[in-house]
Amino acid sequence: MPLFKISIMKDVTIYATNKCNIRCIHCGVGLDQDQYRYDLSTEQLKKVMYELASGGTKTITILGGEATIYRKDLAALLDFALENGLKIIINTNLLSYEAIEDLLDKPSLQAFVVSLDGASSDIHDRIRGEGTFEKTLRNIKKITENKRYKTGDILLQIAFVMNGINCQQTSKMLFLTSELKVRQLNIKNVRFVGRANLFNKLLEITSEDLLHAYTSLIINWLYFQCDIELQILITPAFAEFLNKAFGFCLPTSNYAACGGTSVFSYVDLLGNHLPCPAMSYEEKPNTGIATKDPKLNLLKNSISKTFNSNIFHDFELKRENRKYINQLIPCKYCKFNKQCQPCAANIINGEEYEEEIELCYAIYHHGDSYVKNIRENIWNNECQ
Amino acid sequence: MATFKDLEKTLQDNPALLGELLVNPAVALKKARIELTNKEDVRRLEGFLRLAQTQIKVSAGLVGLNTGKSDWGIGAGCCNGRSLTKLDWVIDPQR
Repeated sequence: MPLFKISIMKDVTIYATNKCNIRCIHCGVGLDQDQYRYDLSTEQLKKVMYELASGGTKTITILGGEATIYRKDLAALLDFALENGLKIIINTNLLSYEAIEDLLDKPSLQAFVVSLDGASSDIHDRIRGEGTFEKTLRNIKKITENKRYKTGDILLQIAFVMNGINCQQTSKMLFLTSELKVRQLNIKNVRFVGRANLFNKLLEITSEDLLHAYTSLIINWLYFQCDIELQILITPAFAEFLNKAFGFCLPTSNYAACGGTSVFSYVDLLGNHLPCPAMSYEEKPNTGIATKDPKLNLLKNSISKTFNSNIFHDFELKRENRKYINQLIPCKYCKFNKQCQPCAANIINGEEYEEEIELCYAIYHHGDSYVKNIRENIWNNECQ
Repeated sequence: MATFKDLEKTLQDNPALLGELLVNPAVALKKARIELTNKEDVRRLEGFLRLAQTQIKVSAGLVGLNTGKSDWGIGAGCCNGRSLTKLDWVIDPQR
C-alpha cells in the first residue's frame, strides 16, 4: 500500500473533553456537554502526545467542551509538551481567567483560540448564553496585558462562527478584533451537526446573506486596512467574483476546502487517531467507524501504525478521487473545479457527496445581482 | 431626508456600513435610514465610493497568503491552512 505524504503530521487536534460550562446553540459536539462522556486520563493523554511527538508533530490543538475548566491537568500537559518539543494551542470560551492564569507562563503555550460569536452582547449572548460576551471580552483584555502576549510569545485568535443570528455583524468583528488588540480573526460557517441541528431554524443563514456578509467583510478589511490576519475561505470562484464585481484580485486561500491530512489530523475522545473529525466518535457515536480498526488507537499503537491503517489510506484515496466533485452542483460546472476540493467527510462515511462550498453556491445563485453574467462566466460548463 | 454629512457621521459610528454601501448602496442607505435627495449629496457619495474602490484595489495589491495552521473546532467547519494578511506581515513575522 503506498504511503501518502501524510507520514509527518505537524499539526494534530486532540478532543480532550466533551464537558462544557455553557450550551451554545450552534455547538456541533453533541448534546451531552453537562456530563462526562469519556475523557482520557492525564497519563493516557501524555501517551498520546508522546506518540504524536515521536511521529514529528509540532503543534497540538486542544479542543472541547471547555478544556480550561474540565481538564485540571492542562498545566501538567503543557509541561509535558515542553519536554517533548510540542507547542500547544487551546480552544476556549475564555469565561474564566482564573482557569488559564497559571498557563500563561508556560513556554509551550503558543495560543488561545477564543470563541466570539458576535460584536455585541445581544447577539453573542443569544448564541452562547447570558453574560458570556462581557466575561470573554474582559478576559481577552487581561491576556493582552500579559507580558508574554505583548512580546508575541502567546498569540490570540478570535474564532467567529457565522450563522443566521450573527451574520449581520460579520464586518463588525473586524473592528472588535482590532480594538481588542488581537491579531487573527477566523471566520467559518456553522455546521448543522450536534446541538446546532436542533436549532437549525434559528441558525440558518440564507445564501444571499452569506454572500453579502463575506463580501462586505472583505471590502471592509481592505478599505480600513485592518491590522489583523483573516482566516477565511477564498475559493477560486469567490476570488473571480470579487475581481469582476470590484476590480481587485486576492490570492485564493482555500482552493481545497478539504485540506485532508496535509493540514492536520485528529485524535478523538477515545485516543483514536483519525484523518478527519467527521469520522470520529463524537460525530458518529453509533457507527463505530473509529472503533472498527484497533490500529487507530494511540494508546496501543505507534503513530506510524495508525498512519498506515486502512482508514488513512482510504481517506486520501477518496479525497483525491476527483470524480466525486462532479456529483455536486454547482461544482460540476465550475471552470475552477480541477483545482478545488470540497469537504470529503460524507464520502468517507459512505454517504452521498453533498457538502458543496456554501459560498460558491451563494455566488452561483445570487452573484448576478452584483455583477452581470457572473454565473455564466464562472460556471461556464453548465450548458455543455 | 438626510445629507452626505449625516452619512459621514453614520459611517463614523458604524464603519461596517461602508462594506454594505459598496456592495449594495441602495439597500445600505435604506437600512441606515438615510435618504439623499440633494443631487450634490448624491454626487459626493458617488465620489466617495469611487475613491473607496480605488483604495480597496490598492490594499488588495498588498495582500499575501500566510501559510500557517488554520485552527479548527468541531461544528465550525474544516480545514485549511492559509490566511490572508498584508504583505508586510509576511515579511515581518515579529509584528
